[in-house]
Amino acid sequence: MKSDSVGDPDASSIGQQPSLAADPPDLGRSAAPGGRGRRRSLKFAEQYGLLVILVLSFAVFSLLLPDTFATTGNIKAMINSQAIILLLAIAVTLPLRSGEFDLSIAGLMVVGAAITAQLTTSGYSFWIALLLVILLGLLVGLINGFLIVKVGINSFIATLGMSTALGGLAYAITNNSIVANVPEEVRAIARAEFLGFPAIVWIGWILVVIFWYVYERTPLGRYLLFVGGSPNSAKLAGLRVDRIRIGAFVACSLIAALSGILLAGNIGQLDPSVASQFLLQPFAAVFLGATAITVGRFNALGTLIALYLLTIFVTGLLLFGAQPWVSDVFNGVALVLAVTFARLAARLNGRA
Amino acid sequence: MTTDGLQITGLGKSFGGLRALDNVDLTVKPGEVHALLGQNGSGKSTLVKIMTGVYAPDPGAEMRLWGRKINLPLTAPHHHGIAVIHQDLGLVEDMTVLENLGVTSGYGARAIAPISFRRERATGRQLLKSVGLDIDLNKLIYELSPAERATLALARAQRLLQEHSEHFVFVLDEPTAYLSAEDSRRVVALMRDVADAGSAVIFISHRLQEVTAVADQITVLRDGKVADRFAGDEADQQRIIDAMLGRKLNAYYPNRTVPAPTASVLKVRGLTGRRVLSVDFEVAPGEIVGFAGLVGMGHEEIPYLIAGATPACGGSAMFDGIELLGQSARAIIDRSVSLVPGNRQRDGVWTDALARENLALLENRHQLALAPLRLSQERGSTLSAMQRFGVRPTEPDHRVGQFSGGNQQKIVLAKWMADSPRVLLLDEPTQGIDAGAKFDVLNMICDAAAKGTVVLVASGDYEQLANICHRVFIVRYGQLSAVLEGEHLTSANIARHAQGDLREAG
Repeated sequence: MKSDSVGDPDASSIGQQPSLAADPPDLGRSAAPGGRGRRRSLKFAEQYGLLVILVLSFAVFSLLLPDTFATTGNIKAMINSQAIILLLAIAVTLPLRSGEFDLSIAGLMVVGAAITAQLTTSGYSFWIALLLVILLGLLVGLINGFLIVKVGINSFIATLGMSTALGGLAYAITNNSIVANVPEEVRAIARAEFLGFPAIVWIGWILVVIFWYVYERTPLGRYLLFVGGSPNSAKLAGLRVDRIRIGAFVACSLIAALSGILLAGNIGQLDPSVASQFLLQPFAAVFLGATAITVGRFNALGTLIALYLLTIFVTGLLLFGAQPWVSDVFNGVALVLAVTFARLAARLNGRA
Repeated sequence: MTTDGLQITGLGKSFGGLRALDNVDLTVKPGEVHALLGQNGSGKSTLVKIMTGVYAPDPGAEMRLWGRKINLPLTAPHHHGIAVIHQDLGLVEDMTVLENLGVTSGYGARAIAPISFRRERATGRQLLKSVGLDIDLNKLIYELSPAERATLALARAQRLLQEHSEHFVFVLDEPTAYLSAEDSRRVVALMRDVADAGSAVIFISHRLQEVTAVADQITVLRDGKVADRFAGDEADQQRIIDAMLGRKLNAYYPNRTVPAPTASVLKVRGLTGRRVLSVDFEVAPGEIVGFAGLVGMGHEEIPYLIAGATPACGGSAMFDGIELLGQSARAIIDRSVSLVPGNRQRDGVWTDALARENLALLENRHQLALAPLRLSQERGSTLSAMQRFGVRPTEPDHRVGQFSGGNQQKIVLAKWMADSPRVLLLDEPTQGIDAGAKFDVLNMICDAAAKGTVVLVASGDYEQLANICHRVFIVRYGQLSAVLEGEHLTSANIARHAQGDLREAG
């Protein structure tokens, strides 16, 4: 690990993490003492800009479409429609913070849903389904973690393969057909209402709060970042880098698999082909979310804000009579724009 | 008009306020091996980077090749017949000799036109013959010896240059740094052959024996200026070392305290790594022990081996009767052993994280991973650490990357020394930082020793080692070849012994 650091005094090596803005460290000049007020307001704009856009866009669509957009029904529908995406988005912040992708979340969730739907409709106890789903989550997380961390396969490739394999498995479990009539018991888990919102929405919000706490207020949240951002210094500081990275994959997979139970319960039936609908949106929300709150880092509150912002735009455009394909185009473009903004913001900060 | 191969006049380069090169002239004639020498930071690499077009020189510089004026900054150096061969050679390990020979020249074919393998093989054989290398074209690079690889890199550069120019300038940047004595001799002989065939060769090396053996002309850089230049046959190592070290007018070092004579607490026996081989030494509390050597000789490995950052192949390192080797990084830290790595931006800190996040990273291990951070306490303690270590500005909430190099290094030291370590292992602790910060950093190190810390420093800065250490071990080819202390501990003596010259300097 040493040889390339000797000799040349200005040789600096650059990490190879899939960070938001692949930014070579600069031998920075310290910030000028003046202009502190301006920096503060710039920082504020950076942190809360996305939230301001969320509020503004909501206001604009409400003014333009008072009868369709600004109704309680529509607001609830928007939030409910994003409940599953929110769960997956929060889950995937874990590996992303530790520097790795996980593309297998959507496929894993559908397999979890398929197991739940198939078993409970065939008369097995819900608890058996739950146990199997937990085991599935652990197993997939461990396999992903092992392949990526121990064997050293690129996470994009390893989880892409895992995702495809899981997609096929979902068809096998459901015998290539839609499993309908999921028992009431399972539906209640996702749909039980509290203060006007179903449980699935509340679970997402609670996860956001828990992950906000873990990421912003505990050593573990930092460990994940250091492992992703500077694995060498993390290792020298005594962090168990491999264990933390594998742990991130396992926790992510566990949340994704358990989301499957909520997916089956929420719709009351399971179509094994839905995985592809849930893949891109979580990433769009997480990457866009990293441009807000703790800027430059994948974080929980930013993800929530970004997700709802995307939903407002897509719903608003649909209500204006746009074709349904607008939703895909918009989310895809938003993902690319989010990463572009992150880079530009980093450059503005003198980081790139 | 002269026909001198390479002529550079009035070359200057500033980075911010720092003058990396100042009015440097360099002339290298065809058929000449010209050694370019100087300590780390003397401007050698800046000069090479200007010759490869990485940096644009300051206005006023002029460069001529075979009498023809070249526009600066250089764009494609190989079009002018300039090839730089770096230490790492740039060969692709798991490709064949033939494939490596072709890769920089597009395999003699245009983008999607088919490669003529027969012609490639013929070209390859001819190239190898021209450098006197007799190897199978289908061999993979990792099967070759280091000298064969260096020769191959040279052959490849020749091929590229042939396409654009009849005259060649080769720059070899420490080609022998990691080679054995035998392999080095071969590479040096090759250099001679290349020059004899009419090329101009610039040879950069720290190994003065090789330099005096092969160089026709020698230019020594110091602080960005030409400190001395002379013909190879009037050079002796003493003259070169004097020119390299110079007499620094404002060099100022902290006072060394003399440790009370006590029993050794760190006992290293048979320590073996990738380069060092069965090294023994003992260090007492309060002692600052230096390890010096030429690049690649193994001295730089020692701190990492003891800290476990590079796994040792054998031996033992007992601290207070407890074995350090084979322990986890965490166990080492818990024993109050701190490693301050040489590459601070990769190993020392995470430059994208805040100063306080980096500084608190070691403290964090005392609490559960999911227990809440005490952020106000963290701000307070990192603020006081930054004050104690003189970090400017004293802003715990700035990203580390926003600080200057010297202040980043102080943050690294604050991170590893805030807890008063009992063993402090340092690799190039003042690399790439300005003079003021350098003094502060050395002061912190001497302070720690005065309080009874065992300090080990690996460095290529001989003057610094001579001024802060109580003892300095010289490492040659992986072994401790000498120990210098007391009145024998001078930078000139360290340099001589590192070169393998056993006569004491006067």
